[in-house]
Amino acid sequence: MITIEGLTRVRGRARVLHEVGFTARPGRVTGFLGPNGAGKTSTLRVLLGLDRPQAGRALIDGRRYADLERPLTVAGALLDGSGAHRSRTARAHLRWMAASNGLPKGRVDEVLELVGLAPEAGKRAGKYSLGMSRRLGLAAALLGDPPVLILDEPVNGLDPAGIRWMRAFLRDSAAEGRTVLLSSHLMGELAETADDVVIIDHGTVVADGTLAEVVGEHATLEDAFLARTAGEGASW
Amino acid sequence: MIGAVKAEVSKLVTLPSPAITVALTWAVTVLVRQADPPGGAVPYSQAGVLVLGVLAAGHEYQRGGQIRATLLAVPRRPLLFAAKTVALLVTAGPAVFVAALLAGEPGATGGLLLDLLLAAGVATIVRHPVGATAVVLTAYQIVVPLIRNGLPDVALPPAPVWSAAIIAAAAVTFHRRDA
Repeated sequence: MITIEGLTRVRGRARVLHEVGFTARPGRVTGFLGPNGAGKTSTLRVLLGLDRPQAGRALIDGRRYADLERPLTVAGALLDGSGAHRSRTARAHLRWMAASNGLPKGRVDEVLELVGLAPEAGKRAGKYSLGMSRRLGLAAALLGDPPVLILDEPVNGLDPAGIRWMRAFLRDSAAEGRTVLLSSHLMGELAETADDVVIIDHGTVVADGTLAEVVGEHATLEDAFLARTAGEGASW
Repeated sequence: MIGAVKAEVSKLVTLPSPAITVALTWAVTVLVRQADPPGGAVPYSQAGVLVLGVLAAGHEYQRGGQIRATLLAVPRRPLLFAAKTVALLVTAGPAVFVAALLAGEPGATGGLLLDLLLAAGVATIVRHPVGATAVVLTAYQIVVPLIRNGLPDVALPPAPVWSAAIIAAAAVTFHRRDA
């Protein structure tokens, strides 16, 4: 369970987040939707203790991420890039991460197998394609078999087969009772995957509910999204 | 804490660049000692030790953004900073001792370890390995000698004071800053 309340973050003179609040429940995929620069990544970075808010709080099962003793067993996160140093092998990267949380070495080979990277585990991360980097990032997120998954644009850089795999994986994770929160700017993708939808625009939550509630009388999630975000698609 | 130290040690020993730096430092020290320069070989070992300290802390911030993975794995920053310091001393300490031995001055080990920690502190603050290398090498090779020669009456604070100040500043920035 992820609980975000009154999250406000200011950077310089720009208001990045303004009283952002929503919950992501176990057993459901919550889609966090918004145009580029709306505050999706900022919200996730605060939730993961990377950035600090000026007000409000973001909790995972009632605790701040930054206070967790073995965070990888509580929440797995996938952010932009794999997080691995370019000259380290994928296996070495996952090994240090496992050691940091007291996880057995054997778990590294399990997650490499799970994301389909086992044959390339000895390659340096800098030699990985974009899709492989994402898989390595996901492997790291799954190391501690966490009940909560937090993923920033998880299908970015994946080929069609990878996208289908990711979608099934996220659905299965929710079916197992995990809390899945994923951000995306791809409506079609979210309409296929999410149970609940939160829409953020200019740092403020503008819609929050089940997929059916958020779509409402609009024909598609995309229509609902553009109506809620004042159709800014034309501005670029 | 033990897990965090193990992880940091593992990161340092599975990265090629620190190992290469140690090998080069030893080689340069041996070669320079043959030439028997007036100041001894230690100042040359020192340059390698500074690079080693910068790489150990600065590799987190190179392309790839490993620092985020690090903070996701160990989000408690004071503990992480302590684990990093311990891991650096445990892994690089013996290598630095060997460099001092090769320079013929095993007694220089303590001073070199202070240089190592200072360089790691600068890299933590600067978050850019090349920039941090430029800062420490300029300070050690140019600024300090200039002050020593130009203003012989000015008493510079001793090395432990410098190192302690930089490490404290690095710990505070590391704790406060958004990653």
